[in-house]
Amino acid sequence: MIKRIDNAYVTLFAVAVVLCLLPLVLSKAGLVLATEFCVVLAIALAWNLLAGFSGIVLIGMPLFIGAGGYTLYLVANALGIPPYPAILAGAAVPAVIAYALSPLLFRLEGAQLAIGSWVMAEVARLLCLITPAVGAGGGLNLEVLRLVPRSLRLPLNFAFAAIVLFITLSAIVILLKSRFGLGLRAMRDSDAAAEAMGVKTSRVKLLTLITATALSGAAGACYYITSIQITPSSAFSQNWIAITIFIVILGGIGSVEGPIFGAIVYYLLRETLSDLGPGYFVISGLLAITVTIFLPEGVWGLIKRLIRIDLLPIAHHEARRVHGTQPTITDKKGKLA
Amino acid sequence: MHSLTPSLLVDSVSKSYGGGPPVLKNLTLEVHPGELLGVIGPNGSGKTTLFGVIAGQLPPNSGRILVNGQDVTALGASERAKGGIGRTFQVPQSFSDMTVYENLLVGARYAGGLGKNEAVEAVYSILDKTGFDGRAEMRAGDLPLLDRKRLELARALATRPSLLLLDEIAGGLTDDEAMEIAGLIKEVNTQGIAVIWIEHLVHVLTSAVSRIVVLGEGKIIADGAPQETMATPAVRQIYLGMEPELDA
Ligand SMILES: Nc1ncnc2c1ncn2[C@@H]1O[C@H](COP(=O)(O)OP(=O)(O)OP(=O)(O)O)[C@@H](O)[C@H]1O
Ligand SMILES: [Mg+2]
Repeated sequence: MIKRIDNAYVTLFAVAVVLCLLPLVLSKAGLVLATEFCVVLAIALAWNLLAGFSGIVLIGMPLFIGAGGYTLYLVANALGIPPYPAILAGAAVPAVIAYALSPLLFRLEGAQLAIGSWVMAEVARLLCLITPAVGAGGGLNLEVLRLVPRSLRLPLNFAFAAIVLFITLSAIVILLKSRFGLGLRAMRDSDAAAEAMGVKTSRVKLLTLITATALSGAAGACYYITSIQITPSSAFSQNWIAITIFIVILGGIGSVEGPIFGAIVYYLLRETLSDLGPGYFVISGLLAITVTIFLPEGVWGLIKRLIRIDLLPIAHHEARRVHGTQPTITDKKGKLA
Repeated sequence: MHSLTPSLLVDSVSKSYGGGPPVLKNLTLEVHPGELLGVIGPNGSGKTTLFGVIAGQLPPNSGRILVNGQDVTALGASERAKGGIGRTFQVPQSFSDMTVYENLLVGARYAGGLGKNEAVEAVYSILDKTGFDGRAEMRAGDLPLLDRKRLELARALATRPSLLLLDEIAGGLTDDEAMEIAGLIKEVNTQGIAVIWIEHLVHVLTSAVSRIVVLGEGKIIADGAPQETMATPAVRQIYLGMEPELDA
């Protein structure tokens, strides 16, 4: 019996190889861009897990991205260590915040949750603006960056952003392929039926929220290492969510591959058209509208229709027609439930 | 047999929606282990609401639900599903973006508490029994309505219930098809699963069940062996001129 290798693992391996090769082939400017790409894609993947798989449209995602950034600065500066290990704290703290806010968040639904979470991000921004301990309006500088030799900063920044991206992608794929993924997808289709099938939907939602916010926090932490400085207005900026939504919608919401293709298209557009100034925004706006109307499954949906491939399959399949044995009639009898 | 702990005890349950009038009025119902119980009643008499209260989707305003002697009133729907209550929905609630196979797998893995391999085996056997053999890889949302009703049954079986609640799964079927489903339900029942079956097709029910409960405006107005129950004056009054079928 030959067991087929799961496409998902092939794809994950390919992504790992590409990420390892990038530093060898890219210029300095290219590597800076690739670092940002990794961060933004990780956030888009995490946001899609929430919005596309559990129906939690968390417009307030910048709360957790900013919290990741601030945590990294505070922890690394306080301990006087190079910033990279503090990425872990940048993942943990947003997850704890999400856990604490979850009773409030999950009391809201749909548009309420979207707006409610947005208000929370605004409140976080205002709190940071008036709190001297986090530098108030002037923000913080990443002083410990001087512990990292100048020549190593760029490659290390990229390496950690790439690791966070890879962990994000793998975690999401593994999660969705597991029993948990079954429950999550069931819940997306019918909350009541999922409960009747034994899925504790409140727990599924909470776990999804914690996973997504931890991953976004880590990505945010990576981003703010590269920026050397963090301010309330940048950390909790709604720009984060605007880019994220654009990428997820463009690529295809609710599929794992969608955000990857969305991010690629977004960066291609931005890098080739940004010279156009306002024209760039007009074109991306029109593109978003066109995709929403004519390609609700996004760019990835289109590709998939054309070449019929699953790069990161998460479905479960009946396997007995492929391999394994057909149960005999006597087997079937009395085996029910 | 009746001296055993009942599989289900609905104890003085009242239920109203929001501030509205009561839909279930101080209702008490006992289901014995291995029983196959039919429930009928006019539209809006509270049958589906009763299932919601038993399975945990709807909290009662007062009263208790006991399953195998254990008070489950405070438990949520998912915990009750794990505790052995399987239900179908009158309006099918298939996981439409998942395949038929995956629809069953959810119930087997979660409520059924089965490991990966056991779950797969259990799902295969139910797929065959319920006539989904060969269509397991179809997207549930692409099934015609009647098959989605059948999927409701298959999916509920996958949760390995000890008490199965069926809400009009034979509605809309031809007589032959309804009888086939009735056969399947009887078979399930003989394996020790207690069943409560709501159905408007009275003649299909009376042919399959050993006891019928008639609901009227949130109360039990008759309860007993099928023929006698259908013959009581209160029931005859409701169903006068409507026999044999009240299918909506
Ligand atoms: N979600 C709800 N909100 C408010 N009222 C409801 C709700 N569901 C049911 N009702 C009302 O409760 C009463 C009982 O409804 P229920 O669905 O339990 O009846 P039923 O016996 O299952 O009817 P049918 O034979 O039509 O399925 C009806 O008057 C109905 O309008
Ligand atoms: Mg009903």
